[in-house]
Amino acid sequence: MRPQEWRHGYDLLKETGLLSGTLYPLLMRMTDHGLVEAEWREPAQRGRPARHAYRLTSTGLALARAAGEDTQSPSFKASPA
Amino acid sequence: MALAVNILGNQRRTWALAMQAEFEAARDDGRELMFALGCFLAACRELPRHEEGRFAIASHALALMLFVPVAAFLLSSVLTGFPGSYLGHAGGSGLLEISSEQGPLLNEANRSAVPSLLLIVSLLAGLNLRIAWLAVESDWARLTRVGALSAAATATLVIFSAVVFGDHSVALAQLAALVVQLSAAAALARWHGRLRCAASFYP
Repeated sequence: MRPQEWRHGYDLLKETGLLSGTLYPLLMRMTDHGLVEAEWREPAQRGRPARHAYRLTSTGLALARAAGEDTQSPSFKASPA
Repeated sequence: MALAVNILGNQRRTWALAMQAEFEAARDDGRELMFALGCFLAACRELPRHEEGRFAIASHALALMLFVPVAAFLLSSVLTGFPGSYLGHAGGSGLLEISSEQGPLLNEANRSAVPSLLLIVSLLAGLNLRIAWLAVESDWARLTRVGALSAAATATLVIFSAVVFGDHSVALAQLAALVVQLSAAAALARWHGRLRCAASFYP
């Protein structure tokens, strides 16, 4: 994964396996809290609308790395199903 | 997608446009229905989080929990009567019979006025439903006119029942309900006015 790469919403959908009903509220929340930034990109095909692209901010990246270290630490125990 | 875009409102306009753009990519993939359904659910989840959404919830709740039940009560009363009141069971079906259940103040002299009373009550029921629709549509100009008509019909009911039957308990209950309804509608209208002012500042 390249966390600083810009990604479109539908591509994120396919990479994460999340549904749009889950992904978009997450993106909205993370953007509101400054963890994700968004910008408009010109479409690859003519006649299509401009697309929103997203990537983690430095704050979001630091949080993701901290969360990743927490899950990899020996003291971390996954909750039972 | 159109529903999701409408529900998201002005405060989430950017996200609505973003979803619409991604819908095209989903359509290329043949997954547009699931994508649109998810966007609709996401928009519904956002409703309570912004003021436009809270207003939409409030106006629909007011319509469904205040105006429509009052209309339903009035309509059912036209059909089955006003138990416990001076009219007793003198509803639509009771007009064909003379019985002791038709209330203590009804007699042969004023019984012929019951159809006119029921007509006024039916009109009030219809006006309540119209007010409910206009509140949801936020059409305050028309709601004001229909509200005035309701007030006039209620005043007629109060005078009519006092003169003909010597008792206006049912009419006064309707008057109290009308005051509550129009006060609630006025509060909604003020809220809507503030939202429109705020929306005029959005680019």
